[in-house]
Amino acid sequence: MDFTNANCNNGEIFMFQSSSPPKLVQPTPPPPSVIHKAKYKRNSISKNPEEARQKRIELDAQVRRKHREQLITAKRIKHNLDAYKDDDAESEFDLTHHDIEKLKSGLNDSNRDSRLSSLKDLSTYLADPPDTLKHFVINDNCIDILIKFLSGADPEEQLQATWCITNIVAGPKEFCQKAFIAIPHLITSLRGGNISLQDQTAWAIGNLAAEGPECRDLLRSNGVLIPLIELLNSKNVSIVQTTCFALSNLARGPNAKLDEFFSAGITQHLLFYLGTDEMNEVVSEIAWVLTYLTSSEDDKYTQILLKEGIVPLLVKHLRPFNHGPLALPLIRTFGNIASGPDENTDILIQQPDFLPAMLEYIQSDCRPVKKESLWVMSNITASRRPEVLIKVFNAGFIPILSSIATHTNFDIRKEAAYSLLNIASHGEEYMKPLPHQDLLPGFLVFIRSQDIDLIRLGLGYVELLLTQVQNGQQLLEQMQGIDALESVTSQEDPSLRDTSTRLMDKYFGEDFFNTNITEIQSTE
Amino acid sequence: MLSIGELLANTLSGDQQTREDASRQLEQAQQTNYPAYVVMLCQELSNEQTETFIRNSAGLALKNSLVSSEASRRNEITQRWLNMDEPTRQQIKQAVLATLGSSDQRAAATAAQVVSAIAAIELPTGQWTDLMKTLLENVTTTDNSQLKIATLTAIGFVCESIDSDILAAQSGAILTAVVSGARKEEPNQEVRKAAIDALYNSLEFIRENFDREGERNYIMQVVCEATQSADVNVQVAAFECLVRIMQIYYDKMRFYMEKALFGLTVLGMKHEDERVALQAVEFWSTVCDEELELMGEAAEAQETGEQPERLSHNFAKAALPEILPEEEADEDDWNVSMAAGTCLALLAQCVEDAVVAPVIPFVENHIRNNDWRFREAAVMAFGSILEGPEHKLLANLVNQALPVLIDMMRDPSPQVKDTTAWTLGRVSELLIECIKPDVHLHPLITALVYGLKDSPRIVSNCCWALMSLSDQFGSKETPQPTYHLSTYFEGIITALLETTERSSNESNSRTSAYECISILVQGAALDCFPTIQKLTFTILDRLDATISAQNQIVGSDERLAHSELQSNLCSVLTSIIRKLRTEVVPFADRIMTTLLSLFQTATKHSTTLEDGFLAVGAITTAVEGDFLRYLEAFAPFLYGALSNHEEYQLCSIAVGLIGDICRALQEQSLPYCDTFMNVLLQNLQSPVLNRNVKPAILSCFGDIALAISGRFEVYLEIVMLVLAQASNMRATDGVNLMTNYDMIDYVIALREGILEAYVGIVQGLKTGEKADLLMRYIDQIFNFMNMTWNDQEKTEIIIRSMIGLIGDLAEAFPNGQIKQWFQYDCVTQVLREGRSNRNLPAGTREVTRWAKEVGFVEATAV
Repeated sequence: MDFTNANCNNGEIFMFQSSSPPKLVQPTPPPPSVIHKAKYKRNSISKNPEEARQKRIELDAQVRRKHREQLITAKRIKHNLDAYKDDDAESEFDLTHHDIEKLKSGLNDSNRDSRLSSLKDLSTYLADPPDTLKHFVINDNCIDILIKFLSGADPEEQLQATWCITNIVAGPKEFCQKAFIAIPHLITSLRGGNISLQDQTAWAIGNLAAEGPECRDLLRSNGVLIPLIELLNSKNVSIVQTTCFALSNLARGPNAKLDEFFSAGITQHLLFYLGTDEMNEVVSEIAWVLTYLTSSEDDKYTQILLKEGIVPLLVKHLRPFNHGPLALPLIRTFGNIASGPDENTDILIQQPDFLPAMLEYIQSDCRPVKKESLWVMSNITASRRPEVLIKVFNAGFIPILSSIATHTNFDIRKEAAYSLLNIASHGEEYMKPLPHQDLLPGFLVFIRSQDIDLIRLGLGYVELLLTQVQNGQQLLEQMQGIDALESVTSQEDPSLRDTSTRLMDKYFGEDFFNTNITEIQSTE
Repeated sequence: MLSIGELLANTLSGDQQTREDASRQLEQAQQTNYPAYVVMLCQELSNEQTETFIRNSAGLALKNSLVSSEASRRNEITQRWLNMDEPTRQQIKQAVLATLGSSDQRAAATAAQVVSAIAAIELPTGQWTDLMKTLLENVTTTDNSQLKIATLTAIGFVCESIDSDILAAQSGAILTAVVSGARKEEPNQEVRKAAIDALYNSLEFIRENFDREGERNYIMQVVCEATQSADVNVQVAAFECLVRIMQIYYDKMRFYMEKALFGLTVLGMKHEDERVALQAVEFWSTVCDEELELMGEAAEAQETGEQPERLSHNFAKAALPEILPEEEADEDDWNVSMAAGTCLALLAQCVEDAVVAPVIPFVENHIRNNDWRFREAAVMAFGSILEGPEHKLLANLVNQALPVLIDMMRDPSPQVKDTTAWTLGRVSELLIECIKPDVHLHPLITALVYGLKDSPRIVSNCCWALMSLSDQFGSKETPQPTYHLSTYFEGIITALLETTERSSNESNSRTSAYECISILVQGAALDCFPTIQKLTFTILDRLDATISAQNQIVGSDERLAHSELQSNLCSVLTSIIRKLRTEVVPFADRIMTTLLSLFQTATKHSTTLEDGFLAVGAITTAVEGDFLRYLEAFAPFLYGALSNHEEYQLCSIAVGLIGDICRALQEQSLPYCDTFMNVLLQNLQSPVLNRNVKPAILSCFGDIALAISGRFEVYLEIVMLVLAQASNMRATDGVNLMTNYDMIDYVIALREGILEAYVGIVQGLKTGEKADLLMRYIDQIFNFMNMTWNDQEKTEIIIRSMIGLIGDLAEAFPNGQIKQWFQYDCVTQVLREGRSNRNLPAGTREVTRWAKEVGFVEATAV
């Protein structure tokens, strides 16, 4: 083969398809005695040459991956270190005790350049700390040294030390806990006027907040919220993004004390960034903050936002369609809003573009977007107000939801089925026009499944079909629906069993039941 | 011409010539007229006048003409049978079914095998639909016990050999037949035994029946009653069934556990027949298996904040006081005492702290018993509970026990010594903090080194204990200046080398010793390097010796042993090279000389080449650019391996080795790259090469691009085409609900390979100042990232590589030329994930930071 360009156009085919037949079913487990025999006096020595060979091949692949990674990382990191280092010492993440001592003395050096270069080295190593470095952080005075830099006057040293803290708090739990004493210093940095330091500090705080509830409490009690929210005044894209990252981590969990977010004036900032057309890059991050603010058990936070008119601003960003995951936080926020009282839903559907946009989103190719949009719709259709349902009907949702509920994967189907059942349970006039010829087979598959939620959905639908649709009973017989109901009688869950038995008794009489007993019972 | 009966008789003749003649003639008959051949065999099988041994061999010949373990042959055989006309097949099936009722038990049993062989062909094609009905009638409408036994045996075979999906539709009939034979009302115990054996084989596909409470109750009742049969064979079979049921249907066992199973199995463990006791112990090990798995699922669910799907009933914990197995030892293959040891270890993991208090008295009472069996059981019990309970709870006990255990390495009983060595290994692996270097280490190592001179089975566990010590005290990354094993290092290596000089590998002892040497080398400290250098020469001398002995080998067993020895030696050599790094350079010539002559003599199918290649890979890292000196001599072996598509593991290693060589040689590899690329592309076009090699080839493109930077230009178009085609692979078609796990893994591996290729290419072209060539492909790259990101199935490696690639692209186009692509949603999302996901591998954040610094900020700044 030659590699002149002419050669490439003759449609060469490379084989990536399987050369071995696919195995579709998970293998059945081996008999227990085989499993247990292998565990008797288990040790890590290879039991046979083949096992030893596999181990060697695996180790070889690991070593190769590490070398490739080191080469690539070295090229990337060098880009940062070159300015400070003349020799092109490759950054190998192996440090001896001697190296650590050198690093320490570098951090304490009287020469600023060598302090800075040591700080940069330290933060690089912290990304993948060897044991010697872990010891330095956990059992030695690493944090104290860094705090000295934070409280110093040199902005570049402050920035680099904050980088180190960022990487430390992203590490294992004991790293993070060690860094707790730096929190007051970080908050001081937030208040300063140094933009890159503020950005970096917000990142470190975001990492800290992700560690867990205790850490979030600690940050709050040190007064992190007010200076953090003030950073939203900055019109620097990067700072706003990082700040939102930190805020959304802080707003996580059941005891997030959201009151403080609102009294610190977060609402105005959120509205501003959603309203302006100049800063589209930050919308996604803003929406992530909103997902946490609207997900609280207490609806009052959502109410505040609704009163300030957040919905039209959010709906505006549904277009142009973002079928990628950028749409996720927006959609999740809508879902949170719609899960509140019916008034919330009204506000949503009064937006002329809301339902048409949702109709597009439930047909998205991006699975998480599709699933969450369907969840939004199941919240919308749960509304008790007829005008909502009429709008949903008129927007053309029924055929689309029906086709989703009867095709594709079960978890997606389930979401669409919730909406349909919600609609159907509002009464005869909503149940009748549904395309039962298409829906029934899909819901019967639900009933025959082993998933309790799916069975419940299926039974709910069949019950409505029997009670509210004229030829429902006939339709069910045509499609072997009785067999499906019969299969539920062996379910563990008593409520499901009862429902199916009740339906069979009521609509198909005793006879059906008795002729279908299984052969095994006749042998008893 | 002899009759078929005579021919069959002759196949069992004492005279070799007669035997071979008969076999040849039968083979010929089969070739020339298959229908006539099977009809004749069937007549012999079903003829009540024929002697048993002839009927039997006729039946076996018939069965053998219907089954094969080779997939291709099986297809042929199936077609041959199905191509026969319907009446002939019908005639044979009728005759075989009739033979099930023969008073000749062996003929009937053979007929059962034939039934199953025919069923395995016909049932999957939807034929012989009335088979199960006939078999069911055989069992339920007759008093002929022989017929029942043969029929149930046939059902058992059918269940064992046919896919459960196909049988599920018939599960009602099968179950009815089987259960009816297993009931306590059945007077003939042989019938019951056959029925329960068949039930065992059917447990997989009667899931639907088992889901129905009424049917499940009945099945459980029948099995439980069978454990009380007067015939111990029925009891054993019934207990085996219970073990399997617990394994498959744990979730449904709560009710039966309280009502019956607990009591039955506790009594079963004390049963006088060891086979019953064994199954009763296995039952509880299986309970532990399931509950351990559920503990894992629960922990995982808690982490993600979800409810676990299935709940553990904690049977093991509730039952603990009653079920602790008493141990006694025996020499048998798999016996109660071994099963009890395993069960205890599983219990300890399952119930954790609760296991300690009841077991310790047993250990204390028996550890000094005069009978070695009790001593062994005591040590085994102690070793078994070391994993599970809190360390705090065990520390004191282990401290007290250590001197006793070390002493017991001189016990007169080899079994006691073996179990003691294993227990010391467990202590080293699990509770290293209990081993005080200044107190315990000297006597411990002395005892273990002494054990290396003992019988082979003891050697293996002593090696393991030494390996655990090395893993705990040593460092596999940067060597420490010195460590706790430094003083003993040379002594241990010498003792291990002596052990490996034994001529046999009985009980895996030699392999264990070599593996132990490798591990010790991997963990060694700097002050052990002189010993390791000496070791290098010993290993090379031994390898040389095996090479010159190559020609004297006769027999396949010897060849296998020889190849295994060479693998062991290469493996130690690889560990040494990786450890010594640049300090191995002075011996590199000697090592490569030995390896090259190893490659010259290696046979095509041995794994020797593989292990030698791994050593070469280690050498490239150590000598870097100097590897050029060896490449000319080594290249033929490399190319040979790359075109040997049948040995795909070797081929895969060779692909990796190209990457290693490029990394070592950098731009010096240029003259070889045309050949490398040709071979790699040919491999991608091969329809026979195992697909698992292909992702490695893609990564290798990246390695080549990194090495030759701008000169990669000539390969760019073809490689981009390859990557575009590889990107089209999907694991699911979106409609099919069945999940093919192998396929998902493969697509993930491909994507990791694609990303590594892109990273290498982007970095390489950027270094060569030819990044502009990439403009044509930016869409392709970002579309690939978008698709990969939106797929649920993605690994941390993928995310990490994507972050890196985004940064590399930003850096390659510093003036915002590709700004619009950075608006892709996936870019924002990936970077967000990179800084907020704690589970990503170490270093991801550094890459994120860098990606953010070099590109993302610039590209999106307003």
